[in-house]
Amino acid sequence: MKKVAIIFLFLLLFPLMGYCEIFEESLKNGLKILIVEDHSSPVATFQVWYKAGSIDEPDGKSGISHLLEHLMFRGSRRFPDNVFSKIVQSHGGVDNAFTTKDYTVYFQKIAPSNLSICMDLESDRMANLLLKKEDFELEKKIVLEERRQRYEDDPESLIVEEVIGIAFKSHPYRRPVIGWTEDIESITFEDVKNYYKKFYCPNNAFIIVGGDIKKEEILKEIKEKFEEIPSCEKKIENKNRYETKQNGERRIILKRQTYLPMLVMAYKVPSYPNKDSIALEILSSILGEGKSSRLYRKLVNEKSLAVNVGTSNSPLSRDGFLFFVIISIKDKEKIHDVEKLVKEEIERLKTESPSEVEIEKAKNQVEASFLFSQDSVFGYSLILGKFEILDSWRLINQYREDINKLTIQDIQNAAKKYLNEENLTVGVLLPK
Amino acid sequence: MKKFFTLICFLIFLILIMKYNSAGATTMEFKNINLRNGAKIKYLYRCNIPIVYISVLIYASPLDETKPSQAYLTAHMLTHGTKNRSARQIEDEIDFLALSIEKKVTHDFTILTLSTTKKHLREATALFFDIIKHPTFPEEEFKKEVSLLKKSIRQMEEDPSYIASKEFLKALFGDHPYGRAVEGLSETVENLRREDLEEFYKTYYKPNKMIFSIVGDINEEELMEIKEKFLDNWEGQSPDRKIKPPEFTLRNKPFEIKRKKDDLTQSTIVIGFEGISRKDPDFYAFTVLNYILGGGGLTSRLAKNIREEKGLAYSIYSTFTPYLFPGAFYIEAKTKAENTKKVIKLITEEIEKIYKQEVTEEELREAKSFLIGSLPLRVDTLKKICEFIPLLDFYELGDDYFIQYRNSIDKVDSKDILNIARKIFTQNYILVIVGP
Repeated sequence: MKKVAIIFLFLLLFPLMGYCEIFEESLKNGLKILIVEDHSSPVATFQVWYKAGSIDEPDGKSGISHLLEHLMFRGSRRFPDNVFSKIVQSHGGVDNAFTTKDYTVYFQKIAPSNLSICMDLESDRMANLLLKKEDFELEKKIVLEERRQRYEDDPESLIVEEVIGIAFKSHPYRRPVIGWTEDIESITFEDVKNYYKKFYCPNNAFIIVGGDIKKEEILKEIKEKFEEIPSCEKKIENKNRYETKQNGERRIILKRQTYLPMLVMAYKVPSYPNKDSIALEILSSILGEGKSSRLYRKLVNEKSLAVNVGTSNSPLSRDGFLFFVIISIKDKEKIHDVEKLVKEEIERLKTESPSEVEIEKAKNQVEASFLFSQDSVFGYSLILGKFEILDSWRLINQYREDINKLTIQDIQNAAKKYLNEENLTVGVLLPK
Repeated sequence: MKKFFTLICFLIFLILIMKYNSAGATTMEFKNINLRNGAKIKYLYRCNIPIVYISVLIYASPLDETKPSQAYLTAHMLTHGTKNRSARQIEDEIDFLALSIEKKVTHDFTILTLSTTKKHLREATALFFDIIKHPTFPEEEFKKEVSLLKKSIRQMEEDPSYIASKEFLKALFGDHPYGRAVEGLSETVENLRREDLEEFYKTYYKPNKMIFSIVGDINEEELMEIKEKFLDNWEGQSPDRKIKPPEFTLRNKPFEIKRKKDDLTQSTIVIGFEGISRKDPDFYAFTVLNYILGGGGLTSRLAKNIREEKGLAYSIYSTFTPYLFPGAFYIEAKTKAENTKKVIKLITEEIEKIYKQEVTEEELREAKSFLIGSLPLRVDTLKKICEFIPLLDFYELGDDYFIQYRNSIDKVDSKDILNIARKIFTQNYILVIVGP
């Protein structure tokens, strides 16, 4: 009976997935272009994605992708002297960038009639970034301030960084995206120049343009501005990254000036297209997403032990990452009770089938989140980009099919396979 | 029939796009409906995605409180039990239907927003109006919520920015409700009783002043159904608000507050002044001033000087809070503790500069281009539109606000900016430092 497929429950998942048409084209130099026509608002977004994140960094140079992201705003041959944001803003747009463990994205949101300026800026900094020594030294100082603000002085972020750091022994995911202080300090100007040269080229990037645009016009202009940029000199080799087998639970205790203790439980899990990654998405929904989830009910409502509970899974990572359970606890004397209760709930998932209501709830939540993401062409483009980083934005359709095929048994098997102590790292943040 | 409906939907959508594009900026053609009970509905049909947002703005905020946290907890307890549903049933329904009901309490008003897929519109609206019209504030739920809120505020009080802001607002506004965070204070939250919430609800959650906005894939027929089912039969008058403006005191010299927190590596610095109200005619000049000084991201004077040229901070910005009454203007920066004095000096020099000299033509032109050009970005999703349009009525901005805004920003000149700088920065500043 447990093997009853839940296929029918998911049949209507992602109805009419994608309310806007998506066009794809690749240029001669290997740069891929995705165009999303969405005429619902008089706005547009221009995004350049580089497949370069902390996963790609050499040992001892953690934070180099993020440091380069900062330097990308300092000037290029045609646009020197730190004028990128000034130009975008004076055209009524906003610009920014972010670096993750898997990629780096530069983006603008702007009126469609001003997209040309984004193409000028992005093509020039893809091809001709002006890396200056004085800018490099300044940005290192700024990044160190950012690290102090976001991690050193924020115990809740620091404990998560520590947990990730010990959950992985050999895989580069152990390194924080912002970098460790000593690594940031040790990065040389030459290191950054080499990193830019190696990763910032058209065949290691793609562009997503979305909004109230006409694809032919946009494509023509992108070709004019990007097609002559040469491909990478050396092909980026596919590194064989791996994580050594974990032998038993790992644990870190961090004491800081804080009020609420925090428990972070992180299980190593696979990423998509491994099918278990989607089963874990459903498990995340059942366990900790929303006030009706099992852990919220148990720990916040029934036992009054916690202030907040959350779970998260990252199926769209380039390599397997972590399934997190994060809990703000009322009383530090009760941390062990909370951990025990979480483990009991996880064990229950392995032995008892989730109810049909729980499965349908998870289905509704996935469906709604995809629909709501399309309320913003910017947000929708980000989702497409995450699939494109894995291989192709078209994987969204396969993702849908794979969810359709999930069975209750798949969900329980994933819980048994990954949510166990040999795969777990625990972080405890305690008030000093 | 379905094809016909799709065609109509598409045609309406096209017309809406043409309205947008013909103006070259945002001119949202929403419809206003005034109800007999005094409530208003602002309705915008957009059928490109099968989702619907419904917001309701309520004239209730800390300005109306007899005890801190009253407005915040009243709004948050709405989903903790009604005459028809228990707290757990409400949570089950919200999660099962994948809805969200957000409760935002500002210093001037409360706004609740329902987000739902079209597929669940009927169940979602039934739930939304149940929590607005029939909350019961159960005692046991109330106690749990107070305990959670107290713990949450205490946790927030570990955050250097929160501490700095709390101290600054207290110093600027004293005991006025603008002088405390909308959540209230950890030391007073336990003084509240469930009856305080019930009383607050009964007084202020009346339909006569409510402003609803309904945006998304919902046709007029469905709209009328909601109106008839949930609003036409709802009566009630809330009294005129007895709200008072803050009273500011003159400072003969800069007022400094220091809060020590040993673990920190950085100092959080807040420097601020009395600001202006939303209805102040200087609002537009002040908006431009703020953009040039510290509101314009990396291009602002403060960010250019302190971050980009000297590498002394990652985060530095200025902002202002134009409420019904004059709010605050402040600058916040975070820097390595040893650089605290240096950064304070640089900030005060920038204030001095904008107080003494007119901004350049280039700065003025770029600020205006951004503020006017980026207007559509502020309402680039249905949700943002839904939460924005009730404010047009609340702050009496007018339905042609987008045109007015553009014209008013366009008229600002460098003398206007100097005048508002002289008005705001004449006072001595309040300085808060939170650091090791």
